Amino acid sequence: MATRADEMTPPPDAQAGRAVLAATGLRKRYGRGDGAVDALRGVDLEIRGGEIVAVMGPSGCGKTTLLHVLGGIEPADAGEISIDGTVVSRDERRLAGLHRRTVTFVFQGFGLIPSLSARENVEFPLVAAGVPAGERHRSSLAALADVGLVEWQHHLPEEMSGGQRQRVAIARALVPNPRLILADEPTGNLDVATGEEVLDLLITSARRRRCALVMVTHDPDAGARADRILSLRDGVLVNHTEDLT
Amino acid sequence: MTRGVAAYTFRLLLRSPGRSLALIGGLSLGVALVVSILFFVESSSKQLTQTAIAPVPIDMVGHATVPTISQRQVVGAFRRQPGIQAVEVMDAVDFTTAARPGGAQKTPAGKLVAVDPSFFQSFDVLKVSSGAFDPNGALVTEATATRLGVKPGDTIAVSIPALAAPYQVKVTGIVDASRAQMLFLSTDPSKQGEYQVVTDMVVMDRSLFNRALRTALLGAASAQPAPNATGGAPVVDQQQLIRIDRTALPGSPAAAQTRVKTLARSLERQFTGQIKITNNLGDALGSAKGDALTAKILFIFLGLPGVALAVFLARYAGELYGEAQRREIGLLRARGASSRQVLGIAGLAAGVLGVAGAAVGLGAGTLVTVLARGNNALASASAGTFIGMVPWALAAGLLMAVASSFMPAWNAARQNVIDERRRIKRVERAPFWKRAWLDVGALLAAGVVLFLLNLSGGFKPAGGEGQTLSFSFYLFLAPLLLWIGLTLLLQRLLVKVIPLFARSAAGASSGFGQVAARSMGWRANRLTSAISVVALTLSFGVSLALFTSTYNAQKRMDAHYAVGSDVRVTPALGLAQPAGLRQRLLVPGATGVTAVMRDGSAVVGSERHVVYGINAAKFGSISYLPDSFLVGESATTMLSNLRATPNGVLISRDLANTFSILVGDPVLVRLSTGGGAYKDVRLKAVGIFKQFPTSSQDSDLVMNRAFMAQARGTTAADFYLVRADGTQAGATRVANEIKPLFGSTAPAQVQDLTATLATDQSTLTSLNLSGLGSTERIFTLVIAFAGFGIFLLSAIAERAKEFSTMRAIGAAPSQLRRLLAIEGGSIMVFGLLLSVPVGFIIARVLVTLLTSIFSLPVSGVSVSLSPLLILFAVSAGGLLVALVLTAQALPRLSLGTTLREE
Amino acid sequence: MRAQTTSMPRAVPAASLMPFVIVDDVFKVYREGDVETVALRGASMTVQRGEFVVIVGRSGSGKSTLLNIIGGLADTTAGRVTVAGFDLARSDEELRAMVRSKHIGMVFQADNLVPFLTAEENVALPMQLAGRADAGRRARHLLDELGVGARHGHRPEQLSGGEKQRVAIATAIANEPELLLGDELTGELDTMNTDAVLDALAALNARGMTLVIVTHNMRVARRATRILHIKDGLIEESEAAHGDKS
Repeated sequence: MATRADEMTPPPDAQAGRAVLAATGLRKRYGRGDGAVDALRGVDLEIRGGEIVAVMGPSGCGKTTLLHVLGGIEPADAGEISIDGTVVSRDERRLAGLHRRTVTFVFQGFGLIPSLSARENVEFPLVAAGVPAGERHRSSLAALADVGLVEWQHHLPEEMSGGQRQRVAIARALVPNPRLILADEPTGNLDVATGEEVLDLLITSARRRRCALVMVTHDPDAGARADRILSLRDGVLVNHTEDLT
Repeated sequence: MTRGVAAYTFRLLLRSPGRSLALIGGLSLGVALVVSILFFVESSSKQLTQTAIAPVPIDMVGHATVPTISQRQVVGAFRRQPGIQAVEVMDAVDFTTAARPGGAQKTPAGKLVAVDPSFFQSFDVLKVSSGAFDPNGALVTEATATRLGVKPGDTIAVSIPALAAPYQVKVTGIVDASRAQMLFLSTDPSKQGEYQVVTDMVVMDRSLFNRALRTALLGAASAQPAPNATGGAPVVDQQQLIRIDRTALPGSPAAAQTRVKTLARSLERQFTGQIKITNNLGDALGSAKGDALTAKILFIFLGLPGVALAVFLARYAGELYGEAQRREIGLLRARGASSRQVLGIAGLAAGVLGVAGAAVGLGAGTLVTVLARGNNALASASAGTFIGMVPWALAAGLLMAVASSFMPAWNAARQNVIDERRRIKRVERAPFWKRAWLDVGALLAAGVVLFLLNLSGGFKPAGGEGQTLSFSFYLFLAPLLLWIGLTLLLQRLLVKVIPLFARSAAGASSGFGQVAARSMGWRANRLTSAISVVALTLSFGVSLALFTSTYNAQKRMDAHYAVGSDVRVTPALGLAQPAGLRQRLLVPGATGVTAVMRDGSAVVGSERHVVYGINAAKFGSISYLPDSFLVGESATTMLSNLRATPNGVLISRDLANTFSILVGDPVLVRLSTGGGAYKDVRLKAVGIFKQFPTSSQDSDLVMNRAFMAQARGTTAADFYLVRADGTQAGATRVANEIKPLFGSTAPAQVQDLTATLATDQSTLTSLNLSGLGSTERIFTLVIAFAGFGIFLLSAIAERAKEFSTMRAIGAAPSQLRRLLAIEGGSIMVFGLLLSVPVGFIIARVLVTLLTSIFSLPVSGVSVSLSPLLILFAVSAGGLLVALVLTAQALPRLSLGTTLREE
Repeated sequence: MRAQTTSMPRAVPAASLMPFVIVDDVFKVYREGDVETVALRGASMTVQRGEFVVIVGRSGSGKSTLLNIIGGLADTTAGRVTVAGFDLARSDEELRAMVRSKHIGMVFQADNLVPFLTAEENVALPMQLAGRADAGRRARHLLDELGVGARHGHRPEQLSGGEKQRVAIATAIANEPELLLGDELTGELDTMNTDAVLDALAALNARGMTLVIVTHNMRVARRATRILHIKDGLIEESEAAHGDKS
């Protein structure tokens, strides 16, 4: 288990200060007419290399939408996203390419492919990226070792506990060496003790690899361990240190 | 049922049109198949009726049973009867002989008939071939003219027992009476009900007959002591020849027969005790009746697997919406709906869908029928046909709606509501058939049926032409049971085999191939359904194609057997044949001719048997003699054995069994030498046959023609077999070349392959199965296409989250399409591969059942490649289209929605 | 501590002295393949008539399961649940359907409405299922009361999240249940819509309806007369409730 000291390591110097991802004026609306919902109403943010950011806010405030838009899962209606200073939001193909290399996801429901073993799940992003088999094998085993699941590599997701599944998902998010991990309530489906372990693993792994982490969470403890808290309410960032009570 | 339930149901159906239409589509497919089959049954039935009555020249014949009846009165009454098209009277008198006055040549006994001039327009049984029908003279048949050497203008004297002196009349023309066999019932009590073949006839005008002969004959008759008391014919046989309106007859032979019988009875009733009607049409329809029933059941059983597939498909389509349905039912129950209300909604919905599916299916079935068999496929259909199909369509639609729509709802309603809302993965219990081992049971049952069939000695090859078949219809259960058993067994095995296969495939591949293999192993259940739908649908098509090609091959083989070769030429009996006939028969197109001698009254032991004499050197190359006709030896060997043994004889298996004759045994045969004389010959059995193409009916013994000619002291051949090129067209060409060789002076019967195929139609062999084949080919394609498409769409729908996750973790849309293509492609390939053995097994069993229809035993499945290749090409094309279309749906997945956590 | 119980709209039998909802040592275990998930492990609670109880807990704490069990939508693995004097854990589906129809209304986080029915038809549905003649008129009236009368002819897909949930509440209370169960019913709503829904709930409670709502939104919890915490399948009574129904 990682120590507090690890977490206290200052952001890596090479990346520090430079934005991995920057967004300005993000807007997203669902539905149309009277039933339309504005999920994002003009969000500006900047994620610097290696920093850990918690996005908090009440249910339905647009947190997941923000994460989806930042990660290129859903297009924004308006606004700009740039990765390493390159504006990607206007060109879907480039966005997809850059995103795939730079940004990975951890989902609340783990998002593992049920038919694939733990190692095959971890390998999947490398398969998609066309990485040669030998290198895939080495990298995925290393990533599984990082989350302590090498001996579970041949197991299917359904044979694993929730905590183990999320650790596989974390390994999968780490394996392409991303610059940014987007995590949507990564402990939401776990009990308290497991949730803490998984959160710990996620934060230490990100820190060790100097990878930025943006996580949506309800958990005040998770917020406390972040470098920064973004507070989202009704589609806008209200301030950066929201008091939940 | 409350108004609330009804209102909810109708809103459900109307406001989720996609779902309703998908289900109606699935249901209507099944209904359409039923309807198409019914159309085919209907038109086949009609075809059987038509072919049964086509050769009947005179529909009914009335015979006066009292001499004093007024023909005019009877004809008048008959003509007024609705449904009667024409009535002609004919008076007939037996004559003992006819001759030229003072001439030496005499005819055998014959008939003198008197008709009105209108007779020749009403019926075409008598045709004036030269000269004219004159009110003051008479026509004679070609045979009579030839025998007596008379021509128009000559006078002949006709000896009639009741007259003191022969009646002299002037010949004014020659009449072709070859179609007149049905005019006279045999007077021989031992041949009751059979027709009397009369070659010598004198035909005169009734006005002349009435003037010159009637009074004398009737006077003589009354002078004789009660000529009718013993049942013999009156001196003057007063007949009414009746033609009915055949277009008004119902399509089915049974209904037509009933109609005709009723008509005959109502005619008889008008002259009770004075007129007896011989119902030729009714008799012909009677023999078609059994065939029609057999055909009907055959087609229904051929189509049933298709209907079962359609049900499966409808159910499959229903499952696409299973999730939405379960959610709605959960919501209904959360809102306080009782189980009865939920079931009421499900039942009402199923009812409406079933009726709608039936209506659409009725239209679609009609459309497919027209597409497959052309516009005239419906020509025989009347409004009544459609109305008759409505209950069937409704029953099929409702049954399928219950299976596809109601049953899933019922299952959902029984489950705990909360489990639906939590979407807990349901632990699937093995389906009922699996637990009950229904697949193995069905296969065993099919085996038992086939075993019993074998045990009872199989079907006896049909002896006579036109015989009515009596089927045990449970035999048709065998292919159906086999099909069901194979279907289920296939599923049981596939579920086990697919994961194994996928595992080794995954081990052997890497990258997306591996991902696809893992995915397939994971979804073995789903994949099994999809492969089964494709494989079974195609095997249905394959088995039908094989069945049809075997039927056609068998039909041709039967025809070849009946003819003996491509063309059989039988010169008229007892007439001098043109010199060098055999050489002259070698017309252009003919590749060989051989003469065959026949002795119909030879005696073996104490029984009369038929002996054929063949030229063993040539027979093999001219006739069709497959090895399967023979016992223990090939045709070549057996014929060369016969050739090497001048007094050799081939014996039918039946005869050999009866007399315990083995090959090498001596056989004593008394050959007839004419005029009641016999000559004993000592023959040696050199072979035993099951069938021999000298005759499909009475080939008992076959010996060398030279030896037979020598023994009987005559070289005259009884018929000739002419080989063309084996095709129908070739046979027809050769037959047409041959016919003109025989003038009216020496008529001959020329029987060719085509005519045999076309006219040998009082049996089931006459049916044209190609219509059925193309109808069901369309359904094969549609069902395979729809089933595959539904599988792919549901794969995308239920894996939306998985596909979206893959996208989110780096897979490009093209990579997902590749994944889908690998899975879809595997289904296609597996389905196509499996369809061949399954289709072949089913076809083999179907063909076994055919044995009863044909004269010859069916030796195996005839594989005709082109229909199979077409089937595969078209199906593979359809599946590819489905694959491409569904792959297009992939990029439209809304990632944001599917990835949103609950 | 607890708000005054307002008078009930119906005659209350002697049994009313009994708590309206009793959950007694309830266990619930889900089996998914070989994995067992224990959702409730000896949960106990009682709710009196007229209370506005909020159950707070993290996701996965078993709060939705608890609510479904109270609503008779799920079986208990062990333990006893009584609602309005009916022992739900031991009754058959028909009796549960009757209890749901007569005594309980339920609102879930989402998917509350039949997608192909209009707002008015959705509200009318439970009344029609119960055979009420004035379903249409009363549905319109309920929608008006909840401030969504203008949207009566719209289908769920045409409604905003707040409107959907208010229609869902109208549907849940259509048959005048004594108990309304809400499962994270403001989970997908923004602040403004959440307040609108909470106002509607408060109004119902003021008229005597018993409310049991599970949530992790503190904004909802502030309206309660009593707060229970659920953690890892066990219920703990909160030290204090706000009790201010503003």
